Amino acid sequence: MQVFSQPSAGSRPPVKPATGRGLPPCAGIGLKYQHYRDMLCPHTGSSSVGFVEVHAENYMGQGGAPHHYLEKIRRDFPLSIHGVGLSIGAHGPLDREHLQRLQRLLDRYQPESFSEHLAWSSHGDCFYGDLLPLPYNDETLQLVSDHVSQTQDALGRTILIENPSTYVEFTASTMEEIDFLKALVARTGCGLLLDVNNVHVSCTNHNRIACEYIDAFPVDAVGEIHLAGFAEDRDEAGAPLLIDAHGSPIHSTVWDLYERALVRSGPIATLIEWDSDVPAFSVLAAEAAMAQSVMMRAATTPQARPAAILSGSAA
Amino acid sequence: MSTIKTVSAAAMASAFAAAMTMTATAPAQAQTKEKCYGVSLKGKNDCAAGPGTTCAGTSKVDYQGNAWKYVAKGTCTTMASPKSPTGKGQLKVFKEKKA
Amino acid sequence: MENPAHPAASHWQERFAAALLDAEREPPRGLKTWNGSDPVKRFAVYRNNVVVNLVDGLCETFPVCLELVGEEFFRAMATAFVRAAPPSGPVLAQYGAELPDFVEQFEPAADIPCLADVARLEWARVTAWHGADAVSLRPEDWSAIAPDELARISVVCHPAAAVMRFSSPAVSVWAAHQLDAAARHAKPEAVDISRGEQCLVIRPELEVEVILLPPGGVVFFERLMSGEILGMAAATASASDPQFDISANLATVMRPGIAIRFANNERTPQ
Repeated sequence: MQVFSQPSAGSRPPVKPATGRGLPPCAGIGLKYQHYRDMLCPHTGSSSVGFVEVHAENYMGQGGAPHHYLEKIRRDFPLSIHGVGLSIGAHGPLDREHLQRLQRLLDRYQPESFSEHLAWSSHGDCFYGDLLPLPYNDETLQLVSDHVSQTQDALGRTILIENPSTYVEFTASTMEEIDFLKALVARTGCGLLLDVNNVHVSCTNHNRIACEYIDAFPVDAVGEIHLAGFAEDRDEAGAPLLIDAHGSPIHSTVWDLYERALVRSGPIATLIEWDSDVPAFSVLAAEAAMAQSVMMRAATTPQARPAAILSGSAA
Repeated sequence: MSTIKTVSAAAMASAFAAAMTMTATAPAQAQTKEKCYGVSLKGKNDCAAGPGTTCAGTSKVDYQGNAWKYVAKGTCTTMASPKSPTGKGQLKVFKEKKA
Repeated sequence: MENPAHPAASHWQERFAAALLDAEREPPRGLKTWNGSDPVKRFAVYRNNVVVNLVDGLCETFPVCLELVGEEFFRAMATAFVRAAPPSGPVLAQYGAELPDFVEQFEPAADIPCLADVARLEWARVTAWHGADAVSLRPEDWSAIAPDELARISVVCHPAAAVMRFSSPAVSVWAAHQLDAAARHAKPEAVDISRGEQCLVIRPELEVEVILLPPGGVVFFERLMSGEILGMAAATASASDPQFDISANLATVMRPGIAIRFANNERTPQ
């Protein structure tokens, strides 16, 4: 099962969606409606953005501004569609109607990547609008694997699954999150989305060592990386409790973990996520430029994996 | 009601001619905002996107409050109550500044 | 509800989900923390995320309602709504349709004039924002019609256009909140709250517009949208309101965002 426990030498097998093209190995930004016009205007520095990512569920209306702008922006930029509502970890069956909506969206925009979360967000007829945690054991592995396979079959493409930020753990867990993800990849052939901020948040919240998590992560399966800011709280005992809030700059610890991951993986498409208190476009563009420079630096460290693709496509 | 069928073609034609004139002059009235019938208002934000999704948590804390414990403190508090002493409801839609 | 392939999972997710929206309810058993601290505090992060994310969304959809009652009141009311009627699906742009009716029944807001109607107008704007696209008739399309044919013409209306009827002056109240703060303070205006208003909500291109309808206009546009010919719609509107002005309303029909093509003319409902 542990096929990804050791990184193999040589170039990594790229995780490719059915369209045959993955995201380019450069830095992108989460597209917010506040920045539609900035993305289309060359003076804003938008041309240095390597790709954009949108939430699938925000583009399921019939028409109007969201589709108008996404169509235009998509002509100029590689696109990642990131689902937040499929509820792959829910015990109930997948929402067929939602899968069809996703299929229509993917047909329309032909994104280079589609990703979802290792989480659940609905139960019965209720949608909660949050990514809720799962215990990691054989039962949930079976459930999530079934749902990922069904999703890939329905959409006709490989999808990426993102490691979550979690605030509680379960007594019912029998395996580590990483082993769960590795097994999921082995069973379904899916790729992974490594959210480095989530690694830092979850490891802090559960007293794990984030560097070890990064070092053990199956980087060959990673098709995209996410970076974001977090907020700080305390638990009942006064221990740090980090919240994956996506409303602030990326923390230096997360930048360090990111570089550590890149040294192992080689350059990978990296997204700046900023969803609340959305800043000026220039702030996002600066974070993306920072990610780009970390990617270049990581590629030139002696331990780095080959980075032949970087020079050709960095914008 | 039952006797009314349709406006005559002639009446409609002359109304149409007048309407064409109005259409041509409408933009000049835009300044008068809502007082002028037929002039549209676009809304303060050019965006009425509605709720969007998030894949993030939040550090903002829900008060877990009960609305009935709060007194509304918005612009409506400057509106006269419908049960005003005058009997006829008058509603100040702007915050009033009395000298 | 039970997934036969995964029977064990139903148990805890059911309880986890129920406790998210009900602070009185115990979180599910089986949660643990590395330092043995009470998992309720950590579970509260999920509770908070769910409510705050959804309430934040409602604040964006109903900005004038929020201004009318203030943020504290609106958030508390929206929280009550979220608990009573959480979203039924993951497309949150569709969440909030039921808020106006909730507001109408919401005891603490009973004294606040227009609130439910302003919520209806705000919801109509979001619906129009996401509505289907269509190309409107241009002035030259109208000019091409022989004037004496006009009474027998019917039109197909833009899919994002809607007619709204209110028993309160919701349109004026909403419009007043589109002015900037300085204009609002400088120019207080009285509105008769016993007067109902009607409007069109349209989206000719990308932006949503609200058009306050003149007397009789609501009947005219309702008839027009149901496919009636102009002559009949105008006659019915005149009968409903003696002040109905055909020219003014025809001028509105010709605006972008309302009619997208001429339908086949002989069709007369009933």
